[in-house]
Amino acid sequence: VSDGLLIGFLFALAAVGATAVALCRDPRPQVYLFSLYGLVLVTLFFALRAADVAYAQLAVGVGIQPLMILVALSRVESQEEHPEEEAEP
Amino acid sequence: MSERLRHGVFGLGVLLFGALFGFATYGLPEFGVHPAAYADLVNELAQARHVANASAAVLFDFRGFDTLGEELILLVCVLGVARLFEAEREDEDRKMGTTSGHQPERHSLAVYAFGESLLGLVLLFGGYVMVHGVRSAGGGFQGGVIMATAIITLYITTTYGLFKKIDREEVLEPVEGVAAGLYILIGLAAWTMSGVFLLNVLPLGTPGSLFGGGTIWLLNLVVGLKVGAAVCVLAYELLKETQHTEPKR
Repeated sequence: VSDGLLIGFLFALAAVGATAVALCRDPRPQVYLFSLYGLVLVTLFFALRAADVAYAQLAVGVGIQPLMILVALSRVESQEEHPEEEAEP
Repeated sequence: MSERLRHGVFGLGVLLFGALFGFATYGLPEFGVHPAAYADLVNELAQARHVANASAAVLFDFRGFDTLGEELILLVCVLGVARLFEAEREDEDRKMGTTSGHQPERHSLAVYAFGESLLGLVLLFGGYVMVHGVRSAGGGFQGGVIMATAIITLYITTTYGLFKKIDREEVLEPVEGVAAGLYILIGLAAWTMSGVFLLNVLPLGTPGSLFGGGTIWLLNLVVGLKVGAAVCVLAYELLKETQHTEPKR
């Protein structure tokens, strides 16, 4: 019974987290929120006894994916600050 | 596009998605109930292959050929990203007439100390997850990615010099390529021995050991090396990109 309670709670948390990520309009906080939401998913997968998937989510969803978005963001931001330096042909 | 139209399109999309999703999931077995024939099959397979981790048995034996495909997709993607960034960087260097790279600002000593102590832990944990793939959760893919995140730690915490010393072309890419080739070679070796590509021909070993499951542990390790190197290349290129584009102050 407590198992189902935990899983239900984590599912609810995942739903709230996903909505929060979607509603966040500022890209940089959104990335951090997204990473945090990834951690919720890790716990959910682990509670569902899918430890393999939890590991993969931990490494890719929490580690690598936010990194990629952050790098893309920093590039866009530096282009906005210095348009003449980075002007694309 | 006006706001109203956008909301209309969004609402239509939600309705359509909801209808299709309901249609697709209607009549599925109840959550957590276990009538799935495939699950029984996989559990039997894991036992037959002397492997405790059923996912490893599926990935590197039952569906070994699919894993080869995935591996090659990753290889092509990462090579594409690396070449793309390289070409762009060379182009910009020529335009500006300078070689790129400025020193990032220095962090506090605490950040360095924390990061450097973390570095060994991350590598150790990644390696642990990688080699234990056949007997517990985890495996080559997960362990490889965890090990690759060490490069991010390195970037954040040590001086940029150490990060720059990593030679992508001489270390990471050969590891990636050789590991990808090894997977195919193991498959071909099995073919010459048995007539079937990627057939599990090695002795299965004792259940619960690190090197069990015949070719499973071998393929697991090869995939770990390959994925680790690939994600390292990816992270390295991305992080170098931030160095390059950061405006000079």
